[in-house]
Amino acid sequence: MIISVVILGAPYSTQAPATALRFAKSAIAAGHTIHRIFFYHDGVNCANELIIPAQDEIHLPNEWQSIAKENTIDMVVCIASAIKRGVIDPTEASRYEKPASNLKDQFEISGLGQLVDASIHSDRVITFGP
Amino acid sequence: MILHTINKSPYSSAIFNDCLRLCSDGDAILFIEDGVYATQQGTDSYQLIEQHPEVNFFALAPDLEARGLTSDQAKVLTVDDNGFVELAVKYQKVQSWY
Repeated sequence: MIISVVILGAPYSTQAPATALRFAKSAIAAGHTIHRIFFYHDGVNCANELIIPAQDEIHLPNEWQSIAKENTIDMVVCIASAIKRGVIDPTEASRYEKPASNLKDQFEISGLGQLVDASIHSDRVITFGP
Repeated sequence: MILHTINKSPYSSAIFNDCLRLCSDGDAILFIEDGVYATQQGTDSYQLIEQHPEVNFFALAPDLEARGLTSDQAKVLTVDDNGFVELAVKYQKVQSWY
């Protein structure tokens, strides 16, 4: 089955990105395909390369990065949600004349159309709320 | 048939009540994260679970364990993360309440 996941909660202040990660790993292990992870609202903070958790805590941005890399999962960050929270790629940094960008590798900034597209191309869309 | 997920404690949110009002016969409710507090016997939310035999109730085991809770297997079945995936596949839609 083709499954897409929507993450609305911020890492470390809600459980959403951690629960979604466990769900995605189990789905892949069961032979399902994860088509896209859509990071929306506070969920976009998962794509911040500058996040440094304590050493004995799970590194959620790194976990998402590796699962995406190993399974070629499309990871899309909502542009409207991202830029207002200071999560920007080099293109947005130059557009808004910012001195740096912080979007993590494997993540891509795009629009809500990608969420619509994910629901069209997936058998299930599972939302993990804040 | 729909799989509803509930991630808030019944002590901090009314989503369990709201969700039950919209549940159809044969739907399932899976308690995740702080939602698992609804599964404890002797509480108002457990009474609601008992009053709705037409709904299948599940609770996510890792979230119960993380909170030092267990669930009574008679009314609320415990599932692990693989079981969550199986439920999402078995039911035609997943509706998240948060």
